Amino acid sequence: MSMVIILFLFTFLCIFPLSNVHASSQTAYQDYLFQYDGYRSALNEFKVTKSEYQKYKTLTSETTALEKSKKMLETRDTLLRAYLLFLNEKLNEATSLSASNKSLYQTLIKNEVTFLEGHTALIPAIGTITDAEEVSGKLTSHNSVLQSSMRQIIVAIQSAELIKANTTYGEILTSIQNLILKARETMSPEKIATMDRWFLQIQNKRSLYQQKMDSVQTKNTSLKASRVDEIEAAFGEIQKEMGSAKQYLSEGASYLKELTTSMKYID
Amino acid sequence: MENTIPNQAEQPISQPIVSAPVAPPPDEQKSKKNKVAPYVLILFIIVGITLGGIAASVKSGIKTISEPVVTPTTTPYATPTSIVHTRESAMATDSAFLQTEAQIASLTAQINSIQIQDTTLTPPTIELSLGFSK
Repeated sequence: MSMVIILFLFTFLCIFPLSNVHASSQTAYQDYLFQYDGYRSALNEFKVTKSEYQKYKTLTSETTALEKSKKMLETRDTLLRAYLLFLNEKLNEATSLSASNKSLYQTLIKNEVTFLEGHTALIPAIGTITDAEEVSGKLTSHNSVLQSSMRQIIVAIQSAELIKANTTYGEILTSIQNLILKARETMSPEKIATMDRWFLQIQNKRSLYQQKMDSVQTKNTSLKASRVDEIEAAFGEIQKEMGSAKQYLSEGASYLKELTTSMKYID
Repeated sequence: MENTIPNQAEQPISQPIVSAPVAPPPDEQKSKKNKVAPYVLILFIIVGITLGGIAASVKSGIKTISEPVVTPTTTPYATPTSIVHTRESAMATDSAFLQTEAQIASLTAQINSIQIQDTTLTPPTIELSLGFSK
């Protein structure tokens, strides 16, 4: 009986880590949402006590406001760390991303997490409202770096999906090329000429996709600005270009389908 | 001998009596008048059937004309040109070809599932300033 239990436990322990691999980003996302709720709640409490302090200026209201400020600052750092960990899990799942790129973005995450940990360590030492303002200001001055890092990582994660699709696209192009070669023996010269022309158009779509992705990569690595709204505008532009890249792949896939349908029949 | 023959000679040669046509009795005459020849009857039946047929076809013709004309609805197609394929090529059953077709279907699904603006990745909105100094 004990042998059966040991075997069962062994099997469970072997299978559990495998099933957990794909769920890790989902778990991280759930944790991030949980921390987000905690932050919202702490922010609301802080706003109420701050309002009371500004109204009455009593020692009690000041103490309560200071307490709630520290709590809010702590939950804010925790939320940002949870979000960065979620991005890290997403990066881990992006198999099509090159090792060097992945390492680059993971370093960005590591740096930001280190900053936030250092920032959180300052919070217990806050003794006055002025201290709280000062500690909070440290994150404010670092915010543009944090925001640009976050957006660079988002672009990398989203690019990974496009890169994966492009790899499949390339594999299909090779297969199609071989099939056209094979078809030369049986099909009419007119049809072969049409297929060659269509194949070129399919290749062109891939080139256009590549151009867009090169531009995305260049813009993403230089995504730095002193103001957050400028970072957001540049990020919006990058997303637009990624949308165009996706459109080129989509059109190419549609052409591929048309080409195979044409190859399937003798007109 | 002379006595035997004169009797015969005296007897006038009588012509055979041809009886005058006798009028049939009145009942028989009436039934003969009502009797219609069978070919007339058949003729009547044929004419009747033909007229009936013509009438029925004319009626149905009128009916079809009076029915409202249903305009055929046109279905919009994704591709502007309709390609009429006659028969499959030898390649259609080729395993490499079938595999490529499956790969294309998979690629299309893969591309469609890509979300460029994935809301789950949106960074959290935080308030930076504490606002005590205002």
